Amino acid sequence: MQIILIIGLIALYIYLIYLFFAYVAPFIIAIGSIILTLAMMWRYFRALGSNLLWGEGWLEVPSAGEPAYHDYFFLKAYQDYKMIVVEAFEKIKDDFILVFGLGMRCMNPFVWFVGIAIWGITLVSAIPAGIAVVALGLIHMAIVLTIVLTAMLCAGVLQVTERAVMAWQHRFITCPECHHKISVPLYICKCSAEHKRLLPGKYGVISRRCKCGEELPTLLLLGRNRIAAFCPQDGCRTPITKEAGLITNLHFPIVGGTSAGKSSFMTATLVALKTGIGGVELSFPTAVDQAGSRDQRNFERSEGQYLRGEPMDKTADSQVSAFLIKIRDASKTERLIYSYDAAGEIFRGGHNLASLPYLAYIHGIFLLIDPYSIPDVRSKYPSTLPIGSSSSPESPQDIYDTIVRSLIQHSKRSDLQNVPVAVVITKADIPAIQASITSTTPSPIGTGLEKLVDMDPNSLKIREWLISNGEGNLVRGVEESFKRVRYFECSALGRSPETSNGAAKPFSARGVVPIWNWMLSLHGQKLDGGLS
Amino acid sequence: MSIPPTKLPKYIRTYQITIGVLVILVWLLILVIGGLAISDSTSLRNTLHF
Repeated sequence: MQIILIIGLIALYIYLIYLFFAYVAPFIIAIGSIILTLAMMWRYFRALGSNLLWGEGWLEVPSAGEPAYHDYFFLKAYQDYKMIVVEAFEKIKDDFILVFGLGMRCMNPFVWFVGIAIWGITLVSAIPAGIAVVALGLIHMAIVLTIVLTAMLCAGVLQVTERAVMAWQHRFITCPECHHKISVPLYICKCSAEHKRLLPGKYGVISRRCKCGEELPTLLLLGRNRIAAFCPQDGCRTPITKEAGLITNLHFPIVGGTSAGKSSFMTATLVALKTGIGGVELSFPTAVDQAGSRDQRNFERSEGQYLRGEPMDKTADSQVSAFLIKIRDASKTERLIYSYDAAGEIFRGGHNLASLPYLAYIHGIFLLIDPYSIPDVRSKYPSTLPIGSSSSPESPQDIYDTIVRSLIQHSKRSDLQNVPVAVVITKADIPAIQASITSTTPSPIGTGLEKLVDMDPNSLKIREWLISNGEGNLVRGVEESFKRVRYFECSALGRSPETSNGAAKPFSARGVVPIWNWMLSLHGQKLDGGLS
Repeated sequence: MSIPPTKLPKYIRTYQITIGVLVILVWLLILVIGGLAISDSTSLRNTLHF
């Protein structure tokens, strides 16, 4: 009887277990799996919320490379995503282990079937929960990637557009000291952090955040030029002016022998422009945080000498700094003008001017010729050089040969042909020279040469004067190498610099501004108020 | 020496929140579209007496 009871109880137990697995367990497993899957998704959303919505996620500490925070979409978005995925995965793993462990704890003779059902929940929910969480992660990644690619595209387009507009408007940045072309200046934040490539990119599309928190624009259009900029060349670090890259820049070497009058020519030009001739506004660009322009200080010293009638200081350096001015004409056209007043000594003895990298990007040449450096003039007028004047020992031909040789090294011959050349006879105030030039009558230009020779009457007269004084080779050489050549005569001082008979009177230039006007008019600027 | 930020810049917080909200919205959209699709296919089956 007892055995029958035991067998009956066992049969009932098996039957109840059967009922549990047949009717209850599927329901428990289905509901449990849905709850577990939703819980896993909740884990992902919770990780997303704690990192992106109410938390700050991954925090960057700028260390290597640029001293700036990466743009959100170029680093932090990815790092945030990684944090969310890792955090969600860890939590989901913990939850599964917890549920599985709960099943394990039920493994005793009384509720082992519940444990089996709990294991069933983990097994059944693993697939939908996995799919749901992976789908969430993929959606998140797809959104981040779409925005990252868009941001990268925007950065690339903005960078290329800025460069294209600069190239279109003939704007580029050069160092006034070492003369290297600068692709991107070295920008220094107020906190002294050095930004080597402040351009649209991974640190920001339109602006970047310096490690100190300062917002720095990445485009000139948005005010990048208002940040202190320097030449990035090692050992140079010359401040770059605020206008560099914003205004069309023109580069003119003023070439001539020692005492040819290069410094006087430049000073006379600036003194004339400062008076506002032709509605022109002259200014001296400065770099950010610079109290004043060094060129302005140099000019003011030379201007003082000029207006007092004292001889100008001689150009001292062989490695010249650019003299930088900004000219705004009556039509509001602005040009940033870099003039290079190389000391005459460097043209002596056929030196190589390879050390003057600016020759690679010049927009015109002023070839200044001291009439007394021409051998025929010296022999024709041996005693006409006024007291206090000195003549250039280098012959114009030697200077021309040196500069052309160096230019060919720096540029292609085809580019060189388009460089305008102003051949300027200086010291034309000396009566004998003035009379000689005035009395010169140009010879008829040969047939077919009209297109090759500038037909301006004064230019033809001075050209003839040079030929008649033994500089025919120079004239032919210049006209063969360059397409646009015009001849001028001027007096930068207006009189002899001698001061022996009493108080000196101010110098007054003659014929200087028309030379610059011709040169600048070839580059879209007029110094005569646009009248000519 | 780099100075870690005391607080995230506002624009980065805006980007973060935008991404978070976008992920949630896209997921909800998928759920709604998926739900509608299932519901439609069920109605279709009922209509056709499958």
